[in-house]
Amino acid sequence: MKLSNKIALYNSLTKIVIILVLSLVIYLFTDDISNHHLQERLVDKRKKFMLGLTQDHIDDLIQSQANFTDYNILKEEFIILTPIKEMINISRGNFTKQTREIEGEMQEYLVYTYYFRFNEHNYRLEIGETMSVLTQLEKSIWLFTFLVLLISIAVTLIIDIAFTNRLLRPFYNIVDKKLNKIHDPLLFSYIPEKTNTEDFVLLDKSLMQLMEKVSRQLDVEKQFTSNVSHELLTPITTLSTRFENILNDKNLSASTFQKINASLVTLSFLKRTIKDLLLIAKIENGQYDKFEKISPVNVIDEITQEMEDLLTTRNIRLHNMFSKELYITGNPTLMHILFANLIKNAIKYNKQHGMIRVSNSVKNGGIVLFFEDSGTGMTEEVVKRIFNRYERFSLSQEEGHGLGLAIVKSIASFHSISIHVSSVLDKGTTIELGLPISQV
Amino acid sequence: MKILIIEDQKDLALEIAEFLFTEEGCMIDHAWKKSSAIDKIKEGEYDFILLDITLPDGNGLDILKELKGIKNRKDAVIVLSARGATDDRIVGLELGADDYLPKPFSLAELRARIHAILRRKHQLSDNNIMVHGFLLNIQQRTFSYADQELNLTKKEYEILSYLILNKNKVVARMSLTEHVWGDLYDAYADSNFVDVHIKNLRQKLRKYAKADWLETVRGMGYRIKI
Repeated sequence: MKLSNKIALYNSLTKIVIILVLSLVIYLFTDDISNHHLQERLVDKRKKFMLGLTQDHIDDLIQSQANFTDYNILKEEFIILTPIKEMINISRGNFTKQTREIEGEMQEYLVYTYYFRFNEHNYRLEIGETMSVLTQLEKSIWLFTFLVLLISIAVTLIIDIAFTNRLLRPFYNIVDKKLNKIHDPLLFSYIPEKTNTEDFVLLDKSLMQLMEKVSRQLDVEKQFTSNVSHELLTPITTLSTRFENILNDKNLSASTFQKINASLVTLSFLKRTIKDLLLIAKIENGQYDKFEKISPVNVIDEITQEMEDLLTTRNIRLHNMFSKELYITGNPTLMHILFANLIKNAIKYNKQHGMIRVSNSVKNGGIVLFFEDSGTGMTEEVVKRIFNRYERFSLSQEEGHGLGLAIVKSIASFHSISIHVSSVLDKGTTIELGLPISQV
Repeated sequence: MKILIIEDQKDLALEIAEFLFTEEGCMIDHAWKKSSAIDKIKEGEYDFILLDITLPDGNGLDILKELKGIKNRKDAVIVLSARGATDDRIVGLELGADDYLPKPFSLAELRARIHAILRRKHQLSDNNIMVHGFLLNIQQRTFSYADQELNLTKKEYEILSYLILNKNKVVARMSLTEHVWGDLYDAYADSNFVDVHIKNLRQKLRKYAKADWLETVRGMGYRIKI
């Protein structure tokens, strides 16, 4: 999980807890406050009723009935005056919650019962007020505060996310610019990322230090490759020149001549292998970093000319069906080697009067180059392992050194090109090169 | 002809010397180190300098800089390098080297390059080489008989001129293959592509005169006898 998401999740969880606690507190408080408020009102009403109360008034109210009852129209409140025999001495009165049925309507009332003595008569006064209004009010207040809290949480959450994202931007910039987009330490940018968060400055600094070490190591390795190549190539030159001199010796027997010549051929393959290994090392060291626009149709035309002899002796037809408008970006030398290696294999593992077709199409928005041949094909198992550096995939006796496809793989990954091989035994092989969109 | 070989591998220098010396009657000087090479260069002019870049006491390109600093020198220089870095090639040629030959090279290739450069640089007599009545013009890349130009393909011309520049030497088929097809030679190495071209070449030559001077040597190589 991303740090910003984690922070957002944590924030929202704590806020939900706060909201729940606050809602509960508010709920309890409003209940208490409104109850208290209602009681005050009932006491007030009682005082108002009692003020200027006369015997006439009481008689008038009670008249012939046993008590006096009065409701207002909406039955929100009522007042009942009942004469009683015995005086119950509760001067302050008491409050009870009661459910009363008034004219067939059940309602909950807060009832204030007050006993008083007037002109030597005892009375009980009950004043009731409906609680439904109150509960409704409570509910509204509670709902309102809940909503306000909810909205404020949403707003702060959005602000939090925006802020953490802003805060973390230098971090993602560092990762993106200095790690993800770099496939070669040579291209590493030593410009510090702008940020005032010290942790990121530290990260940036540490990364740069690490990269410096890696680069230094790579330099040593490159130097090593260069030295080894010198160490190997010079003795090979010495050997081959010596053999050439021996070949010109007039006293040479036919069998010796043959052996010397065979040695020259062996040396030549040794030389080829070293050169191929050096090429792979150079590609992997990023020594071919000059990229240009390349026209695949032209590259294939060049290769067709170079391989004319190979094609004609086996009567293989090469159909160059690359679009003339197609351009790709890459290192021209490497792209030529890549295409040439694929064509070379397509010829090598083809049959007499076979064909090779190169074409392009669009797949998922990217360009795909196809190298199709009508050759001997391979089994699935062979397809799986053909890109191993030292594996030669034909069972035939033909001479080869197995590095051609390793070079193909190396060049492709240097250009972020994906390779897909599909093959049917005795039918042919198709190699698909998937070019990254940025390369088109 | 005076040749200086600057090469720290003595064995290799001796092989090169043997190959060049026997036929050409060259005066060959060796230098194993940068310091002694610079001393030799200052002593006098050479027709040809073969320069290895990697020397025990420094970079061979420094010698080239030193040489170019001396006025009125026409020494032709071929840089020999095992480093194979394209930079070396570019720097070498920019500093005024006449050619660049990556190791490992074949002696036949070296000889062909030397001849091409000598003819271009010193305007040696002319660019024509006579071969039993035929005439090779290196400048115009033509081959003719009695003013009639033979219609040779590019590869036939490459093979013929390579053999002529290595006249009287056995040139192994491998070396020819490498010269004609360059980096693609391994694809051609197994088969008899050279033989096919030689066969066609002989047919074309025979239309004008005898071509027995283009010899097949024990099935392993070819030689032009002059």
